[in-house]
Amino acid sequence: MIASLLWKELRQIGRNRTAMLTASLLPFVILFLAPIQILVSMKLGGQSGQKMPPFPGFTDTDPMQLIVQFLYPLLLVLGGLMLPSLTTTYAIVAERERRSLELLVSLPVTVSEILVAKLASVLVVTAIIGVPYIAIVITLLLVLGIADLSVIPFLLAPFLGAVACSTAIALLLTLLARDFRTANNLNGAFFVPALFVSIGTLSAVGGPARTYVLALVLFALAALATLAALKWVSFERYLE
Amino acid sequence: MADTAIAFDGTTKRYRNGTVALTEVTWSIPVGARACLLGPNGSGKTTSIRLLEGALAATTGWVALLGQAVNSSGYAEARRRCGIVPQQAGMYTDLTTWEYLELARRLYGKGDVNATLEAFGLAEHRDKRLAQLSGGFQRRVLVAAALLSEPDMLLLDEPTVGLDPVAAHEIHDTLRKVMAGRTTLLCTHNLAEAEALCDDVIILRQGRVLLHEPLAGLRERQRPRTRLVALQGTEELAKRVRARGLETSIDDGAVIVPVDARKEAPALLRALLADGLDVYECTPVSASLEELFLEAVKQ
Repeated sequence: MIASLLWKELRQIGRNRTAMLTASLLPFVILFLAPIQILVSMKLGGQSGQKMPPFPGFTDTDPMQLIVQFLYPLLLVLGGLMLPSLTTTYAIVAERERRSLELLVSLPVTVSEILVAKLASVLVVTAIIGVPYIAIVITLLLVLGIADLSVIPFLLAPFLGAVACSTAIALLLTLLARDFRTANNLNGAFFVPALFVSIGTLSAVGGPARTYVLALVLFALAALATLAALKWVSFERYLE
Repeated sequence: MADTAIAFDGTTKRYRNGTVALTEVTWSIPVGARACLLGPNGSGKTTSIRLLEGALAATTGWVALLGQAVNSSGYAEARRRCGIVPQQAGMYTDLTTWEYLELARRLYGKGDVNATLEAFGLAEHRDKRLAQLSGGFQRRVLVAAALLSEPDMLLLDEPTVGLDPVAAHEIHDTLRKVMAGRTTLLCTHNLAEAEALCDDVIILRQGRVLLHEPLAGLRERQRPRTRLVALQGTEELAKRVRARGLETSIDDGAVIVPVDARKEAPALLRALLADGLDVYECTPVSASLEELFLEAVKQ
């Protein structure tokens, strides 16, 4: 059932140029262009040996380590928070605005299967767009000898946490919203606090555990939002 | 239970905004029945369909489809044996006719999309987006999706609402064919449609069952009436009929008299002719479903 619904969702998202363009452009800048630009400028600028001024939560003042341990995780969180929220909003609100949910529930599927398929489609799109960029950046870090293999889970953990958190929050806010504009405004309102939580966690937690702790915080937020969406909001609002 | 196609038992549906759509509703139809669910707007018809679809959950009581309670483990299989035509649904701007039917085929687990496209005259529209089709063709796609897997049962929620008369007529023709041999629940406020397609009537009003019986039984309970037309006109004819102690009403150039056309009308007719009236039409009046419905709603 879910595979069939996923087939439909992916076709629809793929055909929506606005959704695809928005979903591709921002991650391209945040997950690819910005990290590469920072890396290139650091390498070409001959920064080796220079020291950064003291930064909260960091004893190491090597600028390259600050980038790998703070700036890159933050960029990945930023991308992870942005990318799914756009596609989740499209996948759910479009169904409501077109009143096509009636079509879907007339077929032998349950409301929870519809929701799971929509969320799965968001994760697939996120993976297709986001993972290649991240893979390139991590590969560069490894090839240039800036980081060892432990950087892979170190950077992927906050990205996955951000994706889960953004998807769940977008699900909750989209179920609450009645149209695209409200859904996007609500998503925007959530975005800034989520970013502050991320900066605070990365600064407050020292050492290599900082991105894992951030991932845990983001996963916990995701679980809370999912629970709230399914228990208190529910898809029933769309059919009332 | 096994012979029951649809059952509502003490079902109440209260929405989150406090609206009570159904109040302790209890009714059922057997397998093979062709029933219509009638009622004015807001009477709970669409809520009933959504409860049967499993899209909404009953607040209290239960709902069963083909012998399976909606929240039971056997419901999914029962649901796949049931085709549903939704009410005036919004259409996808990004899915083609073929893709929507293919989705239906995958979800029902059987069916032949290309054969269905041919059978419903949709072959030349297979690659058009659903939203680009005319209203009549859109409704045809919905009927086609509901019938793709050859289901045992059909739930039709206002299948012709919003269509022009020609398109509505085409859909009626299609429904007449596909309803043969299938349990059908037609949800409508179009009384002519219900009368043309169904045998049993369930009337809902303000979320309660007002009446549930066969259309024929409902007709039998009606007072028999006879329609008379005379060359002298309705006024003169009505005056002469009233002179015999009978009530009259005027309808479309005829006088309606509350007498049984087979039992009492011959004597009345003979008397009127003997009075010099040129009565040239005397026919039994069969109450329309609209009249039966209005009478039931008034009660």
